[in-house]
Amino acid sequence: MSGTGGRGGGGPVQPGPVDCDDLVFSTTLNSPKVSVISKLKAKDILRLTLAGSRGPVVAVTSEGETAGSITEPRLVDLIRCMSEGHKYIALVLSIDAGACRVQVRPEAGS
Amino acid sequence: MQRVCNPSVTVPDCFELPDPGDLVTDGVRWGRVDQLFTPAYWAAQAWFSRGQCDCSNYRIGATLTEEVAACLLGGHGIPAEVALAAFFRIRDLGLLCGDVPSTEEIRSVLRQPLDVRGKSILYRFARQKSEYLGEFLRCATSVCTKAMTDLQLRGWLLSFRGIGLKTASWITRNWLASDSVAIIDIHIYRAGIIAGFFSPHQKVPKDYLTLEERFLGFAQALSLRASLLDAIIWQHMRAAGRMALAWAC
Repeated sequence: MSGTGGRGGGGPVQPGPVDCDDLVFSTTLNSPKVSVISKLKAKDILRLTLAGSRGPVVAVTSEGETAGSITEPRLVDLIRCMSEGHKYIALVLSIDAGACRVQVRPEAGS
Repeated sequence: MQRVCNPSVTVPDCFELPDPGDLVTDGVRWGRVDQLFTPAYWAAQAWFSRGQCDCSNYRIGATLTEEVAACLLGGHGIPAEVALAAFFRIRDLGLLCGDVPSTEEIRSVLRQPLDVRGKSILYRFARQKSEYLGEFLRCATSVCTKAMTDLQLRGWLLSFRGIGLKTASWITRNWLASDSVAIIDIHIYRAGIIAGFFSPHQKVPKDYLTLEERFLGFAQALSLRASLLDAIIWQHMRAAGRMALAWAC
């Protein structure tokens, strides 16, 4: 039995291998905690932590409150990279009607 | 309910999934959408892929013969890039159209180093695969497969040496964009163990058809095309690499 033989020419867009140092994407926090999000503003920095080996990846404020989690096509790459010891932050881009847009990127110096 | 929003757009574009503890199919719970490889995760990833999917075309080859060659040269732990490089070499030398080449001719071509991402790689199993491909090319040309259904095509492919249920299903899925078969390889198998729609007691190839039935039922429970679910699972499991091995144990 093998899973390395490839699959086919079509299907969903297949992103190439991801370098953990280059893993940067914008996303909207999933399951946002309204009471926490309401205190955030653009340019705030959230720490991303891996709550279990398969996730979730949660975004935590400097006060230690969970703002939400990441649900994203690149979640598998993010968790793989975090499992390998890479650290990431989520920079708040905007807060709009309870939705928190963030940019996920490697923590400087990690 | 679990609310999932499209992360790539700034305007709200959301849908809802049942609670993590709810059943998606017999004995299988939805799980958290933000946790890797739960049924809810697969449902969300399929939803994210809307508009980015050429879901009617999985073909590698331009003819069925080419598709068989492409799939036959893969499997057995051969990396996808190496299998494809071998297929392109064979195809571009004209061995898959016109006069049927001898097994020795195919073997000689497969034994030449391949350029894969700038590295010179030797194709493993050149002897065995050249025999299988040679036999197929000699026997297959006189058979008309155009009127065959998915399962008839798979059944016909199974009559060739070197083509088992997984390879026959892979060819059938690619060639016909079939949702009636499943390619139970190591990635799909591990995904099934992690999500819970396979039991660790079920093994490939012994329980292939039972596992296939479970996979097709799981796709139906998620209201997804089996071919799309297969493609998404395969990509994500491959990206997870060794992590998935530990989770499936």
